[in-house]
Amino acid sequence: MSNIFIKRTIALIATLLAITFLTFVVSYLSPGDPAEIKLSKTGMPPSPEVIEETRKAMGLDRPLPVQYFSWLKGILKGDMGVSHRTGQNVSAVLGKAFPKTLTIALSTVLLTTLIAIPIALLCVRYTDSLFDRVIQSTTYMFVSMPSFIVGLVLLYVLAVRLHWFSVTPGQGLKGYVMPVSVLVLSMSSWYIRQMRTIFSNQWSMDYVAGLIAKGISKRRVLHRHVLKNSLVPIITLLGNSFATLMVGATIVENIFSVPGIGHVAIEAVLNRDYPVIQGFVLWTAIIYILINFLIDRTYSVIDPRIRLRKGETL
Amino acid sequence: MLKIHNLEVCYDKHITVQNVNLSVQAGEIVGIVGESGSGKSTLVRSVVDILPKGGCVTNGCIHFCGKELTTLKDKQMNAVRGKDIAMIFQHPQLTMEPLMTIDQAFYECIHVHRKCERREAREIGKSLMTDLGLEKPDRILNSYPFELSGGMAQRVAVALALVNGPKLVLADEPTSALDVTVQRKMIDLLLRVRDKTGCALLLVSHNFGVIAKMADRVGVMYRGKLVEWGLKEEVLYRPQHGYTDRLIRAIPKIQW
Amino acid sequence: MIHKGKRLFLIAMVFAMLWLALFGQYLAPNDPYETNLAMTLHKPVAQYPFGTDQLGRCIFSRLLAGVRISVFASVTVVLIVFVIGTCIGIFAGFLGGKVDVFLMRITVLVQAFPAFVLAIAIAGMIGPGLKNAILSMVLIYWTTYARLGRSLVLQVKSQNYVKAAQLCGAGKVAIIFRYILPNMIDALVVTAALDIGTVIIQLASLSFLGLGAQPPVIEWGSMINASRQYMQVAPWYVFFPSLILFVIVVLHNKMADYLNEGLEEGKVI
Repeated sequence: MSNIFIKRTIALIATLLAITFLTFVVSYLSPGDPAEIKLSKTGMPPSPEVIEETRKAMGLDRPLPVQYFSWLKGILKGDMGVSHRTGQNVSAVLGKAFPKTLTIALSTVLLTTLIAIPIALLCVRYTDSLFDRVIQSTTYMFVSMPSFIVGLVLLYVLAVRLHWFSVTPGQGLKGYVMPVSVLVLSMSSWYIRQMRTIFSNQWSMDYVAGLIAKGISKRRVLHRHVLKNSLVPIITLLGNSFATLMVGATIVENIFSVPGIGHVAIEAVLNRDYPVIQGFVLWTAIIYILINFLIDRTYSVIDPRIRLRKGETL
Repeated sequence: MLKIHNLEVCYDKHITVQNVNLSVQAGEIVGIVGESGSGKSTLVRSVVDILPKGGCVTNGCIHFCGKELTTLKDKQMNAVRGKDIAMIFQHPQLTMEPLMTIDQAFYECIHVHRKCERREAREIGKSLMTDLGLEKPDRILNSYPFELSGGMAQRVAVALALVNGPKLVLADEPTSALDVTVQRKMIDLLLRVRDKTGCALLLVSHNFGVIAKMADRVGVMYRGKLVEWGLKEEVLYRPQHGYTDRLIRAIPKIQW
Repeated sequence: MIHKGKRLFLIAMVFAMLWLALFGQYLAPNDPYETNLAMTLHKPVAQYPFGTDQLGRCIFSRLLAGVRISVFASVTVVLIVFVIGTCIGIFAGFLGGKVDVFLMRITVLVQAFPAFVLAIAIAGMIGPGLKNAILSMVLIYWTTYARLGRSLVLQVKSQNYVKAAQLCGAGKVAIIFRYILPNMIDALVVTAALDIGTVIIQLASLSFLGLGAQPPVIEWGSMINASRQYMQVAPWYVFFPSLILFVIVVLHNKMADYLNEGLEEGKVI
């Protein structure tokens, strides 16, 4: 147990170092000087001396490894550096965006689960029925639709036509309704299709015939046993979706002007704000590693075969 | 007790079982023998209506204790399945729910048919398994199906089938997935079950040896039809159909 | 057998797409770059079937011109990753050992993150622009083919007829080209067909965020991005590009589905 754990942790740290170093190298090599970009924001073309001075002030004149190690040292102290653009602390920038992204991610995943599971179960229970076919074609449509189109259509219908919401970003909880709806529409369509496949695979397994032969109703077999046996793949998918949302629903945040992590990332990317990009990459890596670890843990809680097999080999 | 009349079963318009007539008396063991694909599994599965996707009874009737099973609604059928008619499958581990301990399986089996406490279910399971000669029943009750060996799982499956005191047990190749030595034990076990509980047994196998050992009455399935039907002795010594003859001669000659 | 109608549809689709991409611009009633400040954000009329944008340019003509960018860019991406990824996968699978381990480590690392987030990060680091967007897509998507190619090679390699060829003294190159490639090409082609739709969406999304094609390049994603602030006054400006993008993606996906069905049954055309 502890041996594997140590190995894994080392691998994780190595991965993190590799990712952050890679982003450093790429941003170092890529065209466009952050100092120049920062200065040109003021409107006047800066003189070479001013650029040089700014570069020094920003620490950009040092060689790459030195920059990287000083950044790394900062990270260990919990300091992610300062935004080139605004001069704010990167951790403060991300910290401010975090609650918004968390709200969106949590509510989207929750609603998607609540919508997709019952519909997918009904589709399997009444395979090839009219209901099933309607759901199949509707979800096919939504899966093929880029999320920004879903977002714009929703914006047009709900805000421009029906005036239920304002086109400008909403305040408080109301501001989350449209972005979350867009995400839930796209995501639950995809999930209904995935879950339908997962459930119907399970439904054709031998144990289902075994349970029905015991006199257990098909409904109960489906809702209880098939669902339970499908949890491992479903949780994997949901966990990954949650991770994706936690690093920012970029498109939706952009359309509905939600200042979440995705928004921060885009702003940073467009302005070559490397410290913020670095912070974003680090955040992404941490979220993915954390969530994959959690998914792994839930496997062994759900499935005794995984739990006990692990016990044997460790 | 069970009377199948003129049964026809189709899979997507493809006829798999045709014009089958047979009956099972109380306490009797009826064996159906035939090669794979002859429709014998389809026949037993159609009795409790657990045909795989695409299969359905297209003609004929299945009478059981005064009920016509083919016309029963799902809900009424559920009351028959696992209560009056129980079933044992070829692959016990695959037909048990993988995420349920045997303990929970007993509870689930009893609970769907009558009110019952978890502890009571456990006691019933324990005593049944002890009767069937399973050692360490407590340990088995706490295990998952994948932790049991094939022979053990099949005996547990028998115990699970008997839990509601069925009048008829359907056994679809109950010995075929087991080692030969374990097969022998299984046969003895099923015979003992019949003697003890008096339940009837409809047994399906491709192994004429197993059928010859166990059955009182024998049917031979060939290409979806029941080509031979009668008491074991008649069928064994005076087969009417050429296929039966070939089948009997194919049995390796070892006297039991 | 795939249904005959479906097969015809498949062929028609491929040709229509190619034809539009190659000659679409000649069909355009107006010059896609020509501005008409007298008729900005004008609703659809005979001269401008889909209306005009904020500079009075013909939306219909711009959409036609955009087929080229969107379809060609996506096909380019998929072709590149198809070739590079498959080669890497075959190498890794065939050679095994340390090369294999190293390459697979990289693919696992890349695939651990969602494609779009990576694309944003990469596009962000190397700067916005259509070429860079294509590059970032390539950097991400080659992994799919490398992994698929590798697993297929391993699968085919263990088949007895390949072992027999090896025993008969066939060289490595001969084995790859004569026995392994023909046997795995189907699965790879289906994946590629499916990916075209995905890549169209992702490229359009990058452009929509301002990270992809930059003006004056005509690209649907950036058109939609430009259009949204006029949503209230000129809904057609948003509507038509979105509709066309959606239709193209659905058609691609349908095409991939048919291709998949067809290959599963052993024949396509």
